[in-house]
Amino acid sequence: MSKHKAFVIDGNRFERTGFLDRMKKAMGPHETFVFGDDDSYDFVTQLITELNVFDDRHRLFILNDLPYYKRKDEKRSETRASVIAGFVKTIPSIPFGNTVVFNNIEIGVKKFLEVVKEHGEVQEFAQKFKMEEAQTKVLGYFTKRGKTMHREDAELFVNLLSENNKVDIDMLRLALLKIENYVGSRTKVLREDIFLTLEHSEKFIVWNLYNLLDKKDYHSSMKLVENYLRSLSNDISGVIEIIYSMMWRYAALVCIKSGQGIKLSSSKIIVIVSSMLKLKREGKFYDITMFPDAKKDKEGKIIPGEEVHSYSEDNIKKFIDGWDNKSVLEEYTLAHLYLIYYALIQAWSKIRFGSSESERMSIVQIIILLICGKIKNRSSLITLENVEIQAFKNFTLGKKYG
Amino acid sequence: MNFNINSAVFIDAIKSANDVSTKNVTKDFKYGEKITIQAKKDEVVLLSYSGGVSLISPISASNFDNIEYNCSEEGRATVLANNLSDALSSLPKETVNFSLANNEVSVSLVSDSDCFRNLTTFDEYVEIPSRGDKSDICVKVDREAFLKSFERVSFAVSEEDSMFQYQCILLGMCGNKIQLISGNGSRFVVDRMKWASQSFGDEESKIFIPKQNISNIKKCLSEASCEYIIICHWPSDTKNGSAEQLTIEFDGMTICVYNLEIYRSYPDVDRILKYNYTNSIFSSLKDWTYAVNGSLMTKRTHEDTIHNTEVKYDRKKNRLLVESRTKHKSKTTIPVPQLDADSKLIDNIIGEGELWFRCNTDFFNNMISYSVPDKNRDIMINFESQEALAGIQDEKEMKKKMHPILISYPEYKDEIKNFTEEFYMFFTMSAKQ
Repeated sequence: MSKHKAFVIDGNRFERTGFLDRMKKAMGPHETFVFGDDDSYDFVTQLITELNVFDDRHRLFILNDLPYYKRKDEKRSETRASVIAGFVKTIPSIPFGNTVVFNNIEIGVKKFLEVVKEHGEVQEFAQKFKMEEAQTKVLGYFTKRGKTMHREDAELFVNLLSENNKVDIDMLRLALLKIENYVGSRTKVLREDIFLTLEHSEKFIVWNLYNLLDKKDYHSSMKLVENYLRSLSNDISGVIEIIYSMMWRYAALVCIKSGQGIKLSSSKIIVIVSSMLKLKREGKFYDITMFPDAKKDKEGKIIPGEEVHSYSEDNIKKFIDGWDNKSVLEEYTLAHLYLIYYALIQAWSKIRFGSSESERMSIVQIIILLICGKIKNRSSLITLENVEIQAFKNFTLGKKYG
Repeated sequence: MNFNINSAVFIDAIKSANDVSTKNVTKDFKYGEKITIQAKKDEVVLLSYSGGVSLISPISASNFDNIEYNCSEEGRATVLANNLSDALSSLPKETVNFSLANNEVSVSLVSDSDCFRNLTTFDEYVEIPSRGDKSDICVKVDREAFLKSFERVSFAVSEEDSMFQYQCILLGMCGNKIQLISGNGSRFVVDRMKWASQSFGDEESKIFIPKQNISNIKKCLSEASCEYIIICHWPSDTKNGSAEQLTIEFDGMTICVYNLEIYRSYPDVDRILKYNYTNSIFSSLKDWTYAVNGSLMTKRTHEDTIHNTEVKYDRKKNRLLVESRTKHKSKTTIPVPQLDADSKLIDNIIGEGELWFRCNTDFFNNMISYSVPDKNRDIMINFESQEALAGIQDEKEMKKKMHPILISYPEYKDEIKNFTEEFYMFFTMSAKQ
């Protein structure tokens, strides 16, 4: 019995294409017929069961979609079962010299897969890699091509493409091709190359932003944030999220730095900072309210010990000791950290009070410039101060006590 | 630009150019639907280019009678092909004047200048792609015979985009033989002409004619009046950046066909024609017509739009049994004659064992519909019994025994032009249960 009459290949495009290429190579002289949902079931089954006219060439039939059963305008979901049942009957009749490939049609019918297995193979190629695996692939990809990429940059690259800690292989492959073409003959792949080639990526990892900010790379930081905000249908939730997470980070840094200033022990600092609760967002747009992320009892009170903390003890330890033995705290003076925290609070209140898209963008830009040390004075932060709130405060206080 | 010309002659002369520029135009092609008129002292040249094919049509007293051409000012203008044709047809058939002024071509009667049609012109001129310096194939062929053969095989060109490699006609030449082949991967036709006193070169040469341009070529050749056409193949030339092309010269005009690069892997059809079949059985096309129509009739009551017909040889009664593989059966018997239409003894070759084959009913329909002139003549069906394939588990052995059904039509002799014509059709068997 021929074991190469029918194949089912599902999963990532990259490996499917590779599989088809190997199959074609093994076949030798052949002719390829490609079918889709525009072809009729009758036509396809007739062709695949016809004996080859020329004995010196193989015939490869690739089905990229299931054919229609009777009419092109039929409801495919209703006729799909009939088409699959038809193939179950037809596959054993496929003569030598013909090979049919069901390419990424995702047919899960057990009987169909059994028939295919009897007369060929069923190949399922995973669509997603784990992050570590993807990172290794990225580094291997460039090494194979005589290029180098820093491990941290490979991590960033994979992070930008990841979703739920997994990376789509096809997306990774295309991104690699893109960056490879962009780099050209240059042997070193730089971080800038990643940002420039993946500028339309919707993936935004706040830790990547922190890394850039700590390195005072305001250009890449701005690009990363701008691209992220541009990819959102409404930027406000994105801006609020960024500012909130920054507030917590810089609050933590202020605590640590000032704790160090008054000679608190590292363990004491860790206890204090790690008790800061993580906040959870509720509501949309201007109604967004942040609450401590914790399990609550029936009366709505936080159940002790069920809170989610902003930073784990390990993370705080990393803040103090640093990654690669270099603490991020070295990048900031306490005054600088206070100024950043002040700016973030001002920005937060200004945005919540009401702001236009361009205002929000300029607020984020000012904060990035401030963190990266391009703005040094409080007077330069005047645009962040909320005149309306001040006026409102003066007005209500005046009424009450005037 | 200012010239006079006889409108009746000009209408005839622009038919081919009009067809090329308006039919089978590549989508959004910039020269599509347009014709550039180049008025020269002794001739007017029409240039049309649809993306896949172009036509250079010089019109002068040397290739058209009673043209009454007189050019007082040379020049050129691009107009819409249909506008030009409509303008000429809407005027009386007499001498007309073409003049270009203020971005408009005015076509007026010489006898009455108040009777005119104005055509809008375009800023750009149709430019025909250049070709290499030297052609590698160049043959002179009888136009009428070529056109007939071309029309006979063009039906068989693949319609399906999934089989683009067969969306062409293959013109092959060698010695005194010229043959046209077309097919769709499952069914092929071969029309072969052998000329008594003409040679097409010692080496075998092949030219592909894309499906897209078949109708243009047919139209041009059927409008032509010359006895011979010259077919040339020009390989691509990297020096001047010209692409591969095929040219056909007729009536002083040149039709150029492009985009030939994609057709390269046409199978070796001659191997099928040379194969010695175990079974060769004569039968009448007339009898086959009843049998095939019977099978086709059952289509209406059969759920498949494509179905098979099975042919069995009945050894006892020396006849063929033709049965549709449909829910509602149709069965017809076809006698196997001992003598042909000219009362000559037929040498049927009949192998041993059970003899049968099954194939697409549409192929049989093609077999009865497209044949050489005399439909009442017998055809020879050459086949290997499908019974011999049953139970073979080795692919190589199977491939050795797999041969398509070959239908040989009677040879046709053209005494006047002095050539013989052979027509073959071959199609595959079906394993569909």
